Amino acid sequence: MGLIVWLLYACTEKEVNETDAIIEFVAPSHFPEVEYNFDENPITKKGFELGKRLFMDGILSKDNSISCASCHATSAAFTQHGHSLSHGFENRLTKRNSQPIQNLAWNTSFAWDGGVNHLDLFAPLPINNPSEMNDALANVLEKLKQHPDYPLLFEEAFSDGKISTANFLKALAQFQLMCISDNSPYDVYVKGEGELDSSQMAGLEVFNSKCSSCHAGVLQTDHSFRNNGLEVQDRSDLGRAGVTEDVNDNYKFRVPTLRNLKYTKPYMHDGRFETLDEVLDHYTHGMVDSATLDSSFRKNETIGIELTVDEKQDLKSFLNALNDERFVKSELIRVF
Amino acid sequence: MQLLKKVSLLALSSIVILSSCEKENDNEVNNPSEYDTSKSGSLLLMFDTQAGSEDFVFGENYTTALGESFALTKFQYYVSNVKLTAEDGSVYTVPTTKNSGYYFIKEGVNTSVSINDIPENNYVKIDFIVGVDSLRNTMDPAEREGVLDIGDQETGADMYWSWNSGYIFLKFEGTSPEVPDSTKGKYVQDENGNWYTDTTQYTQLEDKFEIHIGGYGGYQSPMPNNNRAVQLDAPTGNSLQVREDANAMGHIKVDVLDIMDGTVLHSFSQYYSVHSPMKTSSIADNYSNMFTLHHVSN
Repeated sequence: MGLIVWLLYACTEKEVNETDAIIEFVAPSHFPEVEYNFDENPITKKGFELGKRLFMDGILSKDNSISCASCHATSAAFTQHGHSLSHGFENRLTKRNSQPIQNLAWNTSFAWDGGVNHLDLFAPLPINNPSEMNDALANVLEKLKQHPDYPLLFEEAFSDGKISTANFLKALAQFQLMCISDNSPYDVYVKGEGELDSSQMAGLEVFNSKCSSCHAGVLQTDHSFRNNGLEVQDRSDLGRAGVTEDVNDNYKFRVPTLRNLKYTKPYMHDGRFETLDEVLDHYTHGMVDSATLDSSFRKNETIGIELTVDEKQDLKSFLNALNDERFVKSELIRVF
Repeated sequence: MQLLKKVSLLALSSIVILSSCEKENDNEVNNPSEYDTSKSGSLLLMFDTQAGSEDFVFGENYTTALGESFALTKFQYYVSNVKLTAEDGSVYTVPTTKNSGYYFIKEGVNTSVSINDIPENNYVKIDFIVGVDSLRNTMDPAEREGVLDIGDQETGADMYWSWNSGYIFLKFEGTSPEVPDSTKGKYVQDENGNWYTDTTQYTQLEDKFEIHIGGYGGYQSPMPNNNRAVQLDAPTGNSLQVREDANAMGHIKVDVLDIMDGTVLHSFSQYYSVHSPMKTSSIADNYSNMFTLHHVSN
């Protein structure tokens, strides 16, 4: 197991001063093994703090106006709340809905289409994207070198002290890795430390029989890419096929986690659904058939998932149990 | 370009003088001196770009086998995983690390590769790949320095796809009258996020082509691997004599006409905006044959 756990967390009863707290990555006991290799990027307090500051700093964009947090705010479980597509440089719209930043140490790939193979390598994507930060990594590093604070912050955070590509990306990754959502009522239930109400329990049962083949496990994703029958509205966005260039992957997108849906609306890769009702209605009677529609939705001659009105209600109760209030209110990782 | 050529010739001749090599003709059969494999020396590989039999010049018009005229504005590529085979059959593999063993050749800027710490021997074969191996493509950023630094605008950042994590192996850009004028406009969003075709915008700038070849085989899903192995033999009777106290040089001819032409003849009317690994394997196949070890000097 490539994970190094720092077991130094010293939380006292009185209010923990964030800057005094020791930063550690502790994998929740009920989570699977992490994918991220912490040997390559051990989390330190200074590294984490630098990453957090970079995450909130518009210096990452061409005109210094757009930060990571512009589209990934803690209060919205690190999404751009209420926006179907996010607004980036000069208010340009992005192609897709911003994804939550949570539990990324368990991801096998990144972005809706999985085009990025390492968390450290994610940042250049929004930095380069003309609709997001519209800058270049080299230019961002140059700006950081000229900044009154950053040279010292890098010096404190990394052994070689340099403002380098690797250190910049690793600091950002350290911050993101610490965004762990593991305290929803469902988590409490899974750990045997609490119970779900009867509607949530009924919803869990429906979920397990009708949703969990894709939304698998405690993170509700099997990390695959699937076409869930959304009507194609943007024919220029082929999803996974944009990366693999395989027609069999046309219009497939990442199976997302279902944590913190209360805070991350709207839903789907293009944010087309405003409510969970719309999402569930899509699965029962809104799907459009196509060559790459996931086979799990095919049943005899029909497509979709059969759900009664009661089952939908129970499902929503269960999904509600996946909201992690402590996560979105965490002082440690709060960015705005 | 002409000036650069003169400068490199000058540099070349001064090294030749320094190594007290008095051969008049580089390609005459050389009689190797004694060597000691426990000692090491260096090797300089010069990549001389040509267009057929002509010296290559940016902006000059050349013609493909299909009769299409083109001129280049950018030509650059990675060379890595170099392996040298000696006349006695022993093989020296140049190690690849986070900051060595990967070379960035950029026409007009840097066209030579210097390799040190090679065991003394008479080398008759050079193997390398055009590109960056799959392993390095999946490593974390701390393992990518020098020309692989994706935050270096002149090298790694210019040769990297951030939306599909991976290096671009070769860039071939310029203009050709065969590039179609796009009339379809640009697919854009209005203020409400609805997509439409804006015929006032053009996706394709007049005559401009950009051919970017990359693709290391994919990470989670198999994708094309456009790394190409190249094997070059020294001219008959010649060898690269790597010695501690001498400078062996290999002059590699690189023919830009071999990119579009080869087993498959490509037309600029189809290949003008290439930014992904698929459907470009035939171009990579072609350019794997653009190199010739033209002559050696020791």
